[in-house]
Amino acid sequence: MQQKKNIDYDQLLASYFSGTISEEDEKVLEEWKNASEENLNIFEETKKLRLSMNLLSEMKGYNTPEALSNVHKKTYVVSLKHQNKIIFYCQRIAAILFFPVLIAGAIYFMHGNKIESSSVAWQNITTSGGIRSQFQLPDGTEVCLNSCSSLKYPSSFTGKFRDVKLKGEAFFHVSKNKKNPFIVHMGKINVKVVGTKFDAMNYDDEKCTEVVLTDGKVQLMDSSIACSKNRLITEMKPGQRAVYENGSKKIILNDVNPEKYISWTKGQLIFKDDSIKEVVRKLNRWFNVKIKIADPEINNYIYTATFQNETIEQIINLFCRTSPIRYTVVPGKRLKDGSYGIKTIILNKK
Amino acid sequence: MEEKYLISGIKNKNKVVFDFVFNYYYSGLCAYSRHWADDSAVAEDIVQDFFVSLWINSSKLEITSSLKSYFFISVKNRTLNYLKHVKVKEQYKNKVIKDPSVNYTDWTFTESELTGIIEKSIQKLPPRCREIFILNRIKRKNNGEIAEKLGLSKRTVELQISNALKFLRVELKDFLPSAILFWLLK
Repeated sequence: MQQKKNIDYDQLLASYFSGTISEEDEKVLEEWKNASEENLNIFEETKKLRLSMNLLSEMKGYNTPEALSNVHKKTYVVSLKHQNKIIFYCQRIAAILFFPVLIAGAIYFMHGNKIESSSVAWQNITTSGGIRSQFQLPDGTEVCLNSCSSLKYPSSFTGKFRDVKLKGEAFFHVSKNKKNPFIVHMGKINVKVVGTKFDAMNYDDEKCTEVVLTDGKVQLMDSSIACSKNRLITEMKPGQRAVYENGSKKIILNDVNPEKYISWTKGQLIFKDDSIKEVVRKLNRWFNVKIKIADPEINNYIYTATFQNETIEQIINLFCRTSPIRYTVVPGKRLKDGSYGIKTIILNKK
Repeated sequence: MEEKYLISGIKNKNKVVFDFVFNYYYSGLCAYSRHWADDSAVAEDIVQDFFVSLWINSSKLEITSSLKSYFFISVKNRTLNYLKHVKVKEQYKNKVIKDPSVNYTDWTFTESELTGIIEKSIQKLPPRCREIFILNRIKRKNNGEIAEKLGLSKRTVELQISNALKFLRVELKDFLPSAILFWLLK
């Protein structure tokens, strides 16, 4: 290695490395570097080291969590703008076609009735408050039934369609069978599937019927239309949520993150930007408890949280510690048969 | 961290997978983009837009190579596209263009990878040497301050740092891609 006397190249490299080298010294180093291949290699290695450490401190400077929440905001907003469809389903159209359709409709109707009164035995699985149930249907379809729900299904699926009737909420993993579509009857809406995963909600005490699709494809049909041809309201794609408002004849389709809507099947209770009304509704069902909001001012609070295995008291406690709410527990009254009624929790503004 | 699982998770709009991938790659991709964009705010925008697009078009995702190379190549292309469309003119002419000799394309590191490589090597230094090196390079103290703090002479500190340097550059040389284009050799 060619070295000029009195010049400490190690020190020059060190000052180059830490970025404190003077212009003068830099020229000296440049000369030294080009003097031999060995020098060049040493210089290259030092340079790599310097670059990599600079790179690492740069990386540590980026605020990743903030960036992620930016991205979340943008994907939600963009999908709403692009994908929010409001489909007006008008029954008048059906009326115009009524006559020609009448005969076909009648035939279908009779067929429809036949399904229910055939000799096949019907099973009915019901869950009460606070209970969730998982089971399989005769065709292998897996069902996760949420609390306060019931599913009616035949002991075996004969006939063209696999019909089940849902009240409440269930998550279906339907076994694939294109020849015999699986149909979930949910009051005003029927969901027709071939093989797919989706969550369906149809509670009596709710004003709307909901379907969230995670995998596959489903068709939403109007159950009040006799003729099968005219029943199709819309098709759904994975990642979509359809909400049918029972009053109006409207279906709103959104792009959503299905995780939030099916977390209950994994025993997780997820709240994401949910109003306290929404939170209370879910908690009432999940825990078989009655939560009352005494101060309407509280209605505006919004919550984001994930729970698994917490008791209702722990959850309410958490809400009360993170927002100006206090709670009072009224234990369930002792009933005549010796059992206890459900407990009530009253929420007040602090 | 199985790639297949991650790729299918992204395609299925699995938020947990998406968030995990974002957290893992974000800072590395930003630093990568900044090599060309020269502005870290711009780099962050480019990388965030990339992830937004990744989510929205997730069902169309087709990756033939690896997830990592797909990410880095996409970000580089987006950055170069951005540069084409932005009128850089004056700024670019007046500014001293940093290190035209360095080929950044191969410097595809995630923060996690780079931390691993560097910290592992620093751990191999003898304790005293390591302490001094960390104070100098990571805590950014100058040699005078270090000498005072540890009760050593400035010369000793300087020596330890250059020893650390010698050791580390040999340790790291195979882990890091080339920094110099070799046709510069006279």
